[in-house]
Formats: sequence, C-alpha cells, structure tokens
Amino acid sequence: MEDWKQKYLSFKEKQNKQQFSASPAKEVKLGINLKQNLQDIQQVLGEDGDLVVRQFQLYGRQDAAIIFLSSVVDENQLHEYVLKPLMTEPEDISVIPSAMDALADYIWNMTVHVAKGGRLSELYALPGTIIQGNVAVLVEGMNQALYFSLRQIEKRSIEQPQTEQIIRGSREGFIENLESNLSLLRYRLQTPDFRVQTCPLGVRTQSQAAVCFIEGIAEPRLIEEVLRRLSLIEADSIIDAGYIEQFIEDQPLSPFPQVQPTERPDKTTAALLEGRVIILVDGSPFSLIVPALFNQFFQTLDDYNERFIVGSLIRIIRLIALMFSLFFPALYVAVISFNPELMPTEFAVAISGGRAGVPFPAVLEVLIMEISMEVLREATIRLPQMIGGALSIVGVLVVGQAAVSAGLSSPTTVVIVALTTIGSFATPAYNAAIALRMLRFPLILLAGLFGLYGVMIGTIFIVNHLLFLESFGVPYMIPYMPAKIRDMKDALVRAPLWWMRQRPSFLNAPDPTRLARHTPQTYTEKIFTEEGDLDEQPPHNHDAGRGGHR
Amino acid sequence: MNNRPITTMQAVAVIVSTIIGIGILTFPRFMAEAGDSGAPMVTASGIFIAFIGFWFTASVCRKFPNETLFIFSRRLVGAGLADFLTGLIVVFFAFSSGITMRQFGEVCVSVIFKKTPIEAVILLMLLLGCLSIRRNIVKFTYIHAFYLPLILLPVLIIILVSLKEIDVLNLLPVTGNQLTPRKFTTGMLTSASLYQGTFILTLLVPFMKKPQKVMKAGASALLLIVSIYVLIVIVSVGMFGAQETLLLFYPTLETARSISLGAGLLERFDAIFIIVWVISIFTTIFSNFYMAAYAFKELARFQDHRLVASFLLPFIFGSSLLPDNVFQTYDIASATAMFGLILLTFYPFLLWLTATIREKRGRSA
Amino acid sequence: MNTHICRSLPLFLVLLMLTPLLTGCWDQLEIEDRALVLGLSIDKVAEGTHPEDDQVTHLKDTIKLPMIRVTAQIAVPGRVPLGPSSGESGGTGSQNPVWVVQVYGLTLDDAMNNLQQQISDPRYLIHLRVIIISEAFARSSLEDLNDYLRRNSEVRRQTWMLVSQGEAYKFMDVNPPLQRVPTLYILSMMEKAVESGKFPADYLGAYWSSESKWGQNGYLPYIEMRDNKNIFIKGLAYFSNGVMVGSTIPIEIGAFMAIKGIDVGGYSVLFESKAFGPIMIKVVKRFTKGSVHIVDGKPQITYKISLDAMLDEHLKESVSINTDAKLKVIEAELKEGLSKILNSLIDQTQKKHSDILGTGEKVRAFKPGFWKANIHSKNDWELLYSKININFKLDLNIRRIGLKIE
Repeated sequence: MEDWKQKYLSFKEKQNKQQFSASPAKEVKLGINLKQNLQDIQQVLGEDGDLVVRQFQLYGRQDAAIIFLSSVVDENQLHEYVLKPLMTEPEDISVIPSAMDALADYIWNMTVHVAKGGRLSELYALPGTIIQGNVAVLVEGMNQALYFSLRQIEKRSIEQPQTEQIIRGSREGFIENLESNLSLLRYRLQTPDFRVQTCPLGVRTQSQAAVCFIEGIAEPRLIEEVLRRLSLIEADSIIDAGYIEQFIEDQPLSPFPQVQPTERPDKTTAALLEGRVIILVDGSPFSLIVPALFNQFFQTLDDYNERFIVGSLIRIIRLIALMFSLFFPALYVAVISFNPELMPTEFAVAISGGRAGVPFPAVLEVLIMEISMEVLREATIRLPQMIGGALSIVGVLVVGQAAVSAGLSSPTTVVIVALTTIGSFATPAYNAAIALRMLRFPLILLAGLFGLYGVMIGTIFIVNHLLFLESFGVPYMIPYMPAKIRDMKDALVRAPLWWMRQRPSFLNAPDPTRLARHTPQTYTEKIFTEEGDLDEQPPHNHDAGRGGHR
Repeated sequence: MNNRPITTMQAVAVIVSTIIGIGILTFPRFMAEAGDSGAPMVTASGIFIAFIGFWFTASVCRKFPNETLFIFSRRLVGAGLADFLTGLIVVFFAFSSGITMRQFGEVCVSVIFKKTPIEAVILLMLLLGCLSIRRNIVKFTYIHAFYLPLILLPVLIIILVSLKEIDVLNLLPVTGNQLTPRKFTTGMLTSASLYQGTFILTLLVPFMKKPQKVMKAGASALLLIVSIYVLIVIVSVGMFGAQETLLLFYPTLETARSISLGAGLLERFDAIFIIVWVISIFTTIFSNFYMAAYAFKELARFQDHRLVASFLLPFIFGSSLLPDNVFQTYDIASATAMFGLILLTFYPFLLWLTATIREKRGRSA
Repeated sequence: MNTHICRSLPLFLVLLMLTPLLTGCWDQLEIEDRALVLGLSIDKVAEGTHPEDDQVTHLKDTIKLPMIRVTAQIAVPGRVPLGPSSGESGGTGSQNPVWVVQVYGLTLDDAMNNLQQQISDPRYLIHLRVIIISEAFARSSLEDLNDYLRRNSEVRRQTWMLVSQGEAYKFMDVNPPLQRVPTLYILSMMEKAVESGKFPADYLGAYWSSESKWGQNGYLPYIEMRDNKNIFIKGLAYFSNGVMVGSTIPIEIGAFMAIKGIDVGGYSVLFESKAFGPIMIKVVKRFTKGSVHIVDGKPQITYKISLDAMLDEHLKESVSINTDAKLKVIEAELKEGLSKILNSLIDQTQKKHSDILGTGEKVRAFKPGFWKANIHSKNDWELLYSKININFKLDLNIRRIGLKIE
C-alpha cells in the first residue's frame, strides 16, 4: 500500500535525520503565532492517525483552531457545545473584546458550554492534555490555549475475552471497532509517547490498520521493520488480524507462531511497555504483538498480577503440562513397544496384562485415541455452548470407558491420552498449544518406528528448529539461548516485580529502566505500637509509598 | 545483532559438547588396559598432549582474529600446500564423522535395536545433522550451547548416583600395578586423541566477541572435559575393578546399567543413558560434519556450505559402512583418531611457526 | 514467498528420503507379545537320565558337553491383574500367573533356543530378575553362564543369582501366598534381606566383578526350600577357581558382613554368658577398617571391627543387667564368642582357597610392590591366601537394652 510505504519512508527518514525528543523542553511557552503553535504540537502528536486539527474563524473574524484526538473525544458534544458557539458570529460584534486576555475570558465565560477545562500557556503540557481527552482551542495572537474536557471512552459491550481467561486481572477485551480498541489502550497508557499510526490496508477492504508503540521504549529499528513489512503487503483484503500475521511472520513454514495475537488490552499494554510493537486492525478483536518468542507462550498476566511465588509456581506447572502434552504419548509408545525393561518388573507384568486383549500395536492404539480426542475437541468448539460442555464430558467418559471394555484400548492408554489432552489445554497461548499438540503426532510416529531413539531424534529436530527460528530478528529461544541472565528473571520463574527493574534486554529499548532504583522492596517500620488498641487506630496510609506501577 | 555475537562462554560450550561424544562409552576400557587401577591418572595425562595441538591452533588463530584458518593458511604457507592440508582436514573430519556414526550405530544395534538395520540408525542421525548444518556459525553455536547442559547433567547424575557404589580399593594404587612406560604412553596418546574437537575453534574465532580470549575458552573447556573424563573412569573402574572393566565392551554403559534410582522406580539407566547420549553424539557429528563442509567450501571457494553438506552426506554414510565387524570398526576408529591427533597438532604448529617467523622478519625489516 | 519454498525444497526431499524408513518397525514388539522370562533355574543332569537331545542348534553327537536342565518362569499376560488386588479377586488367584517351561540343552544358550522352539512369543530376558542354580551345577563350572549372561545385553547386572541346595527347578514352581509371581517373591525376599542387613547386596554384577579381580573370590547366596513354598537363606556359597567349593552357615553371613563392614547390622547372636545365662545380642551397626602389613615376607591383614549392638533378650530373670559394668562383662564375653564365629569363617575359606573377603585386593592396593613381585595370576593369590594371617581387633559396644530394666 502506498500509504504505508510513505509512512515507512518518512519514519525512516526521521530516524536518520535527527534524534528528536518526543516532548518539547519544559521552558517552551506557547507563541502568539497560531501556525507555529500548531506545528509545534503536530511535531509531537503529528503521526497519530486520530489527531484532528480543525481550523476555523473564531466569531467569523479571527483565525483559530481546535485540536483533539477523535478516538477519545465525544464529537457530538464537541459540535454542539464548542464548535458551534465559537463559530457563530454574534449579533453585536462590539461585545467581543479585542485584547487577547479579555478574549480568552470571554470564550471561557460566555461562549463555551463545557464544565471542565482550563487554560495553559506551556507548550509541553499541551499534548498530554489533548491525549487525556481534552479539546484544545488555539487562537491567532493568543499566547495561551484553552482546553475543555469532552472525554469519552467507548463503552459498547466490552466483554471478557473468551480465549484468554485469567483469574486475577482486568475483565476487558478488545472489540471489533478499532477506535474503541485504541481508546482502551489510550485509557491504560496515558502518556504522550504512545504512538498510533493508522492507515488503510487491503486494496478492496481498505481495513484501517494501526501500528502502536511507545516512543522512547520501542526500538526504532523494530518499528521500522514492522512498517516495512506492512508496506510490502498488497493484498486484496485484510479480513482479520490473522491475515496480517501471515504476511509479516518470518518463517511461514514453522508450526510455531512468531506473532502473538491477544484479545486483552492489558496484555497489549504490558507488551508495549516492554518495548514491543503491536498491530491492530479494524474489524478484528485481536491485537498482534511482535516480536513474539517461545517464552511468551506459557506466560499469562496472572503470573504478574499474582504474587511472585504463586506466579512462578503456576508458570512451572504450565511448563510441565506443556511437556506432558508433547512427549507423554510418544514416550508411552516407546516404552511399551520398544523398551519395556525401563518399567519396574511388577508394573511391566501388570501392563502386559492390561494390554492382553487389545488388537492394535501401541502406536496405532495411541494414534487412534489421540485423533478421536482431537475430533472431540474440535467438535466441542463448533457446538453451541450449552451442548458443548455436556458433549465433551459424555464423549470422554463414555467413549473412554466403552473403548476399554470393548477391548479396543488398554486402560493405561486412556489415562495417557487424557493427561495429554488436559495438559495441552494448560498452555495459555491457543495457537502455540495447537502447534505443540500437532507436533506430538510425528513424535508418536517416530516412537513407533525407532522407540526412544526416534523420540530423541524428533525432539532434537524440534529444538533445533526452535533455535534457528527468529521473530523480527530476535532469536526465538531468548532468553534461554543465547542466554540472557538478566531476562531469565522472567522466564521459567517470574521474579518479583521489584527485582525486574529493566525491560527485556533483547528488545533494546532506548529507555531500559522501568522501575526506579529507590522503589522499596520491604517495609520494616512498625506502624502499630504493641500496646496500642488496633481497633482505635485509623487505617493507616501504609501502602502509600509502594511503587505500584512500573 | 553485531557482527561478532559469540561470547566466550558459548565458545567453551561448543568445544565441550563437540568433544564429549562417542569416546565416552569405551575409553574407560582403554584406560584400564593401559593403567589398571591407575586408569584415572593415565586419562588425566592425555590432556598435556592434547593441549599442545590446541595451543598452536589457538595462538595462530589469535594472530588472525578476522579470518578462519583456511583463509590465512594460504598466505602463510602458500595456496598449494594450504589447500592440500585443508583437503586432508576435510577428509579427516568427514571420515571421522562416518566412523563415529558407525560406532554409534554399533552401540545402538547391539544394545537397544537388535533387529533394526544399522544403516537406518546411522542415516536418520546423519540426515538430522545434514538438515541442521544449513545454518550459519552463530546458530551452530546456539545449538551447542543449548545442548551442553543436557549432555553434562545426565553424565553428572550417573556419576553422582554411582559414587556410593565405588570401592576405593579398586582405584588403589593410583599409579597402577602393571604400569609400564610403554603402556602409559599408549594410554596417554589414546586419551589425547579424544580431544580433537578443539580444532572447531578455528571456525569460531572470526565470530567471537573477544577473539583474544580463545585461549582461555579452550583451556577451560579442556579442563572441564578432562575432569569429566577422569570422573567417568573413576566411576567405571571404581565400580567394577580394572579387570572387570577390561571384559566389558562399553564400561560406561555398564555403569549406567548397574545403578538404579529410587528403589526400583528407574531400574535400568542404560536405555535412558543411550537416549541422552544421542544428544552428545549429535553435537559431535554436527561439529565434525560442519567442519568438513565448511573446510570443503573454503577449499572449493564456494559461497555457501549448504550444497557441500548434501554432497558430503553420501561419502560420510559410505565411510560409516566401511568396516566389516566390530573390531575393525574400533581399529579404524583409533587409527583415524591417531591420524587426526598428528594432523591437528602439526599443521597448526607449522602455521604458528611460519606466522612467528614472518612476524619477526616483519619487525626486523 | 518464493524464497521460502526454495529454502524448504531440500526439506521435502529429505522427507522423501525418509519414507523408506516407514516400511519397518524393526524392533517394535508389544509388551504383551513378548515372553518375559522372570526367572531361570539351572540344574545339572545326571548322565543317562535326560531325554533325547533336541538338536535345535547342533547335530547329534557333534559336540560333547554335559547336559543341563533349564526351567524358565514366563509371565503370562492377562493373568496378573492390573492394579492392586481387591479382596474378592481371590477366585482368579487359582490360575497360575506364570508359565513354567522346562527344557534341556548342552549350554544355557542351547537351552534357550530349545525353549524358543516350544513357545510362540519371542522370549526376552529384559525382566530376568532371579537365576537359581543347583549346588551340583555350581560345583561343576559356571563359565557357560558367566559368558552368556555377560554378553547378553538384555540381562541386567542387578540380577540375583542364587545357589540352591538340591534341585533348583523346584524353586520355579513355588506358590508363595503373598506374591502373585514366585520369582518376584524370591526377588523381594533378597532385596529386603539386603535392606535389613541380613545379606550383602551381592548381585550378579558384584559376583562377576569380584571373580574378575585377582585378589578376591566371588560368593553367592545359598538357599534352601522349606515346606515347598518358603525359601531359607542358608549361607554364602563361596567360590574358588571359578567353581563353588563350599558354603557357610547363616550366622557366618553376619560374620562376613561384619568383616566387610557392611552397615545396617541385622544379625543377632545368642550365647551363654557365665554370669547372666543365655543372652541374645543384636548387632545394629558395623564399621570395619582393615590394614595390611608384610610380616616375614607374607602379608598379614588386621581387621579392626567396631560393632554397635543392643541387648535383645535375656532369659535368666534372677540375674539382672542394670549397670554399665555388667554390660562391659557381657561385651567381653561376647567378643570371645564372636571371634570364634569370625575365625570359623576365615578357617574354612582359607582351607578352600576362597578369598571372599577380598584381602588380596587390599594387598594389591596397599602393597603394590609385594603384589607385583609375588602374584602373577589369580591362582597365585588363591594359594597364598590359605597361608596368610588374618587378625581381628573387635570393638563391641552394647548401647541399649530395650525398654525393660531388671
């Protein structure tokens, strides 16, 4: 698409030209030149697709402009209570003062019908004000700006995301509307450094797509690469974010996802704050996070919202479940039909009893059971929700029991298959879980051919593939290989928040610090004296100093 | 990513995982043959000879930190001789991969796959290697560094579990009962020939973050390996006694077979050991194969080593099928190893000598 | 996109090459299709009493070897119920969970081939846990056994090999009330004997190792059948020159373990004290240190044995044991009795040239000069062993007397 190309080129050019700072310096005041002021503001916010600069004639005689972000402002109210009175020429022109201060007073007192607002004359504060949902009014010759709060955040049935349930955390999920999604993000990220670049994508669908990142945290080269890859897409239609994912990923032949889709605005925000870039597209409730690494598949926001010990334990459990779902059936086949000497003798004798009537070799038995399990899983997704749950229980219980008593399968196999399936659902990332679930089939086949040796060869093959894989130039297995000690804190275990003071190193964030050094970790001062009656003590402001946000 | 991403730790990992491989199963027998109860000492002594070759390689590579050995050797000894020796290196590494594969196949077929044709076992592993070779040296390093803990951990677990079964009497006297200078020298050379993998550092140096640290990396890698080797010999000889070790074809494997963990929970370690050992074989094969393909690429002055890898595959497979029986396999293997020891000691020595002479002459001129 | 396909073309080619591999699952054999041999017993057959040669591996009369009888115990899939047995499943218990097959052959391998000729499923020794050989067989030669079992990769070194008094095949047919499978009963009996200090962990592998050493001889457990269903650990069957030369009595197992310092004491000693009447002392802890000296050109071994014991039983109620001094008296008396037991073990092994204690290994380890000069084969040491001096320094402590004071 031409537009994306333009954006890519201009971004690149800007990167090359200067190392510009996002916000103007503190001392800079607003000038009296309207054009100059607008330019200054646009330098900060200019790339944002939802920024609106509307120039008009104040009272029909003076150049003026309003600036706001369309995604966070109620435009109806804006028209009715701001724009209309400002543009209406009063019957008696002489009432309007000509002195600039008096004019500002007049606008504030007589014209605009909005409750909240204010004035400011510092340029640096203005973009922040706009981002919070204020409409700024600038007038030619006036060295201050008026602003009125017309903030409106989209509230259309934002529901809990179905695919990514968490216990502790926000209940909001993205919806189809891009503007609403952006507002969900803006509402969580109230910093002027949050950048949104929108442009239509898809020759015929013209779906509005947005690339979001935080200036000063996301690495410019990464943004550049995302924009470049987007600019190369010349597709007829972009129906969903999934289309974009398939166009921009590094290795389409890999079973592993190299872009992470998510329905959760909080997860997206966290990714942005780590220095990743996200892509949203109108019509899709998923945002795409790039780069996505292996490590992200078994992490959820729960890990971070919960205290770190619990979070780490859950994470380890998930990893075990992931291993289960990948290796268990293959190992079972290998041990049963190749290396029964690995089992304790009593157990081996007993297992051979359990399998005595089964007509198939273990490979076939496991394959049949696993495939029926996958069929069951797929069927449950398609069925209406009310029946789905019932069917899955009936399916598992009845079919499993019947298979055993019909002599089609041994009881041990049923246990193995059940464990595998349950294990695969513990992986939070749906697409990664599918990948691992599907990879267990070649492993079962290899186990049937070569026993443990086959499983090992298959595993080495998979691991080699993972080691070779990259997502947007970042090695997929980071931080395990190449080993990054700093990032190991957020890998197999989740270290305490106050220990992870820096953003992931492999994302090369220009500003790597996310937690000030002086944020305390423990509190030892006693607030309540031993003798004091606890009931009489007012609830003390004990947590005030805790640096809650990163 | 900068141009020289390989850290010193990763270089250590590559050398260690390259060297630990096929030899681990049989060498306690050779050591027991040479030094009976003094086997650990004989094993440890091998490192001195191994270190000589390594020292020359490392110091000559340090002088040319931006090129591989195959490039600068042409300048040092002339293109003709350099290409001839590079050719020898290709042949050596390709053949040694083949022979390693054969030994691996022999173990698998005689211990866990009684009926599987040895060709299938070998081919599967070679294909895996061939597919993995098609990447650059940085990824090559990642693979080694990632697998290293998976190689060391099982070995260490087996050593730890079997430590309680060791009878110290079997290791006494530490100098051995029947040790003669001649036996000692043979044992020392055999032990030294286990360390040829150090040559792999010639590939790494141009990509190392700090190429000057290659000496340190190699030396610590060698120390790590020698301590593992000595521990393995101590465990095998200490468990079985020197005489029994001599009777066993794969003493280390027998060690793994003789221990059980958790009151019958894991009764036989041998299959598990072989499986984990597959990883260490893979890394060894991977390195040798990579080395052969890369050297061949340099020899033929190709741009890319991928095609070469596929081209070498049938030759390696062929050479692995060369020996007729198990004794021939080991005879050829030890002959190859000895040849490699000589080649990889004297060639770097030659290069080092010419480089030093030139340097001196350059300074005086 | 084209580049991706180009890059993956070799991958497909390789996958194509791999397809022939799919034709064979060479080693795949379901566990229920394997005849898992759990136990073996080997008997010597007297000349003329055995049936015709089966001629499975050789033509008749082409090779002259004594005939052996091998009885194998094979697990029958399906007869052993899965999971813990419930109380009412006693009805199925009448079915024998194992299949006992008896074959004759010239060697163990020959017998196994004859066995295979009789049963449908391929036999596997991967779960072979117990081998019982008859005393007569043990006294003839074990070379065949040692070679076949060492060479076979299916056999674990942690198999138990036991020597039985009388015919060995009977042990394959015992019907123990506690375990479903007879062999597993023998196995668990031996394992528990090791845990409770009744027997050293003398697996097949340990036996082989000590037989290989020049300065040591092997020994095996010696058992006897009682009531057609119980197994009695009768002592150590000790070997010299590769064949069994004698056996000890059970208390000498305790003596042996004391000399070797194998911990977790398990044996009790009943003796008649002059002052206190019959007393039973239980050894709970053993620790031994041995030293070697060359005296008069002959090695002399001194074992310093420390035993911790407790008073288990005291019959004569009229005399009470209630002071430290009295315990010391008992200790002194017990030392004498123990020395007798220790010496009886040493005397008989020296007479039979069987160094099961591994004193020779001590000499080799600590006096390599002497060893190099005098010992040039295993036989040398076996002969010399009979002549050396072995001394004991006993250090006995009775630490506790139980809950009763008199």
